[in-house]
Amino acid sequence: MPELYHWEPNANSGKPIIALIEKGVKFESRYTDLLEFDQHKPDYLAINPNGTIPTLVHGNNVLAESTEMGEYIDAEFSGPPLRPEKPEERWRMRWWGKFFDGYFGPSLSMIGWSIFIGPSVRDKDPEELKRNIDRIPLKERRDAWRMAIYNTFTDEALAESRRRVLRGIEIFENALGERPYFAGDSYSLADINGFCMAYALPIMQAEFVNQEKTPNLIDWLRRIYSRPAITETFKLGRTPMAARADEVRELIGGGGQ
Amino acid sequence: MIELYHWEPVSHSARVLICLQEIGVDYKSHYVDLLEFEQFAKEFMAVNPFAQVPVLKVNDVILTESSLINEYLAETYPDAGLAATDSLGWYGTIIWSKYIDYNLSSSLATLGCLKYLAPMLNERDSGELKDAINAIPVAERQPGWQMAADNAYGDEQVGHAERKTELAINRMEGILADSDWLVGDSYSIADIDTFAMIVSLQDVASEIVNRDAAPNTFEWLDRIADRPAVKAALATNTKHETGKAFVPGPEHSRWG
Repeated sequence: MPELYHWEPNANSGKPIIALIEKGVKFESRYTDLLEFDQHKPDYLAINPNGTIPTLVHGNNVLAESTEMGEYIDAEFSGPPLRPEKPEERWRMRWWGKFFDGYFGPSLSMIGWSIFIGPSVRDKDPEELKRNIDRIPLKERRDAWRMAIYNTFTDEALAESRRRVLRGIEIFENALGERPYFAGDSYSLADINGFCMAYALPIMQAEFVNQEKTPNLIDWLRRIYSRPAITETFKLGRTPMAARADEVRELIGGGGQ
Repeated sequence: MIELYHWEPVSHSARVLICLQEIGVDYKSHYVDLLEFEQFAKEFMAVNPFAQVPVLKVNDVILTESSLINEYLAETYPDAGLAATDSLGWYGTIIWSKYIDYNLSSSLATLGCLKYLAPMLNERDSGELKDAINAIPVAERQPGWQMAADNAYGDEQVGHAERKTELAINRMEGILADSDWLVGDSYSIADIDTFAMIVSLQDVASEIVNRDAAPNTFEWLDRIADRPAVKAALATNTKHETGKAFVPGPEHSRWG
């Protein structure tokens, strides 16, 4: 049985959780607490030396890139397809993956880390925090943690991130006016990845994401929220982050419970 | 009909030019002169609103992002054998190209612009150049051009690009010590996507990318450069000597 090391059903961890559940694949869930720095502890680094979450272990195969992990899951396991048949729709699915990972995600994540992750760990013992940071294998991740913990984000960087989030929302809205799902006529990994980033936008960016301003995006969110796999996915959450899903459902009237 | 909008056979444009030559498919070429800012002109932005080449147009379908175009080509022309088809092999191919996109593309752009673009821009009328940069309709793209125009590459920027290049070369040396190719046991789009960057890095980052420091990488480079399709693609240069012209590329990651 595949094992999935993940944190909250959110951002990168959410992607393979949803994909596995959509495919009907039974897996061992290994909750890895990002706020306790579990992903930088020796046991975890023995599995994924980069210390990033999530990691999928399937037999001898160890996979650590969450977006591309979806393609592996879709190809490897039976169950409903999560990639379109048409080559150009597959291209479009990957284009969105790149847009989420390279443009929208990092900006949204910077804001999320400044308002949630940083404050969540800042009260821990300073010496212990320093030790935890020094243990992080990737320089980029060390820099990100330092910025979040010591709150050294510049105003310019946060403003640019906010600008990109709003630009991203505009791009989503236009695209979802052209087709019901990101890649085309059918639900795909692009929607799964997009949902992991966008599921809380109606409450986090309420002024910009609502029925009046972004009807296509709200309709799409309703369609995704109504999927049984999404309800199952949020049951794996342990922090108030996952509870936001219920708040959004109440707000926009999505199905499922 | 297949049409390709591209610039010189360097970096991202080179990737798709090579891949099309390998497959042996005919295409109509549209040269977009990036140094004349044709990528920001209305006509081209109607094709790609993100103002980037290459763009592959297949009948009416527009495809962008060089590594994703090559993934499309590999899947559409399976007989060319340019990517593994098993789940793990495909995953390995696409994560490698992504790694190169995030690490080597932006590093090559920085180092290439430092060596070739900044001196070229220095010869232009600075007032006209400033106006042209301010008129770039994609906000994210202005700082890269401004930096080249001002030749303002600082130690931090160059050091970052060199560090990323060194890390990638070390990884490649490890892989190529045991294998002729980067992913699996045959030549693939992972090799093409990487070659398009390394072939220029041996010039603009010669302290890091050289035969003594990276012998395995150089043997691999030679193997690929010998391929007729690669020779043909690199010979499509139009206004500049191949590998001597660069434009600001994708920015370095802003957040971990």
